[in-house]
Amino acid sequence: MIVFFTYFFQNTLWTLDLTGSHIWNITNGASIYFPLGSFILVTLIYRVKAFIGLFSICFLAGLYYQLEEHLLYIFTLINVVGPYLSIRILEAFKMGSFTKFPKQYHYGELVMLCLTASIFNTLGKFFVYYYDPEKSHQVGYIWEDQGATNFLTSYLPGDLTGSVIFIFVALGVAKVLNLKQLYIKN
Amino acid sequence: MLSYSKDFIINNIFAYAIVMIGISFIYPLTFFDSANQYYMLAFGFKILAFLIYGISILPAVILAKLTYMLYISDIGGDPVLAVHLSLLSALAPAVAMYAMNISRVDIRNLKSIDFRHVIFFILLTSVISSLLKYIYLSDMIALDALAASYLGNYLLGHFIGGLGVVYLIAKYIPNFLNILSHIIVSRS
Repeated sequence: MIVFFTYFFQNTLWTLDLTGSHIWNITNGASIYFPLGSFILVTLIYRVKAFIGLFSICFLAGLYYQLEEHLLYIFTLINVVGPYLSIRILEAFKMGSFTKFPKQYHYGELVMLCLTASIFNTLGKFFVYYYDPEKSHQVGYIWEDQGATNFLTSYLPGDLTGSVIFIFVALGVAKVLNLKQLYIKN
Repeated sequence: MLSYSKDFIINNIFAYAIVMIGISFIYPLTFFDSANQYYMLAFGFKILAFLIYGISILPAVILAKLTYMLYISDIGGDPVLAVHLSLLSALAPAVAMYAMNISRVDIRNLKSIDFRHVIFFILLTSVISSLLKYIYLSDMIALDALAASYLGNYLLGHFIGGLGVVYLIAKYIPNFLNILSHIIVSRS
């Protein structure tokens, strides 16, 4: 539900532009990308159990944006697996522990998680998109067009700010409304 | 205060020497060839200087990079490009170190350091450094390269170079010093 709501919010208010004056372009990411924050939050709470829900909502979003077939599958996979891998990497390198997440957390570790997840998300999508063999003849055009640079400079800050803002606002709201009482592990 | 200034100057001189030793490994190559290497040893020595002395050696690293950019590399002696690239190159480990400190990991205390933190520090620094340099270079210069393979090489070169140098020095220098001390003791 969290992921669905953020996708809807992002699409209607930030990315879609209902007036139709702006044409969506894959090389220009949203300046604040909230869905990544919702992916991280959901993965932090439910871990592997969130995969099916995340996959379905990301797949539907990819269909809505009319992504090419191989991009649709791989981008969905990066969206779903990226936050989980980031959590595992941080735990493996002893950079933080998220096993007691909703009850105990450290803000610095959450910021580091957002940074790692946004790097993973941006670089994963960047390499998949620019290694596309069908576009290999257009690479010169992409380079001249600064598409690759635009991609990195829009996706990475957007992912980072979006995920940090979303997680901190969500934790603040959960604290005010005392939502931890509703959380049941297993 | 006087002792702190003395330590600061001595640390900076040693850090400058360490970074220049690293730069000597890329001396025969052009700037863009060195960026495409699969092992950037200079990056490893820069990381090592930061791990040993902490963030206080930032001026020495900037100065060493500036020396390389202006007098050794083949970027044409453009002072603006040299200053910008030196700053980007020196600030990446400092930013990574600060980010790790936010996450309650003290990378500066070598006595209680975990090698896993060092690996993560190298990984994070290589990502930040490659992204900063790539974005800056692609904005300034028309590079004749494929975007993804160029950035991929950059990332891989930074990571292998950093990890290789730090691992080899952390593993073999203490052993070498140990053997040396044994020889000295046995002779005396």
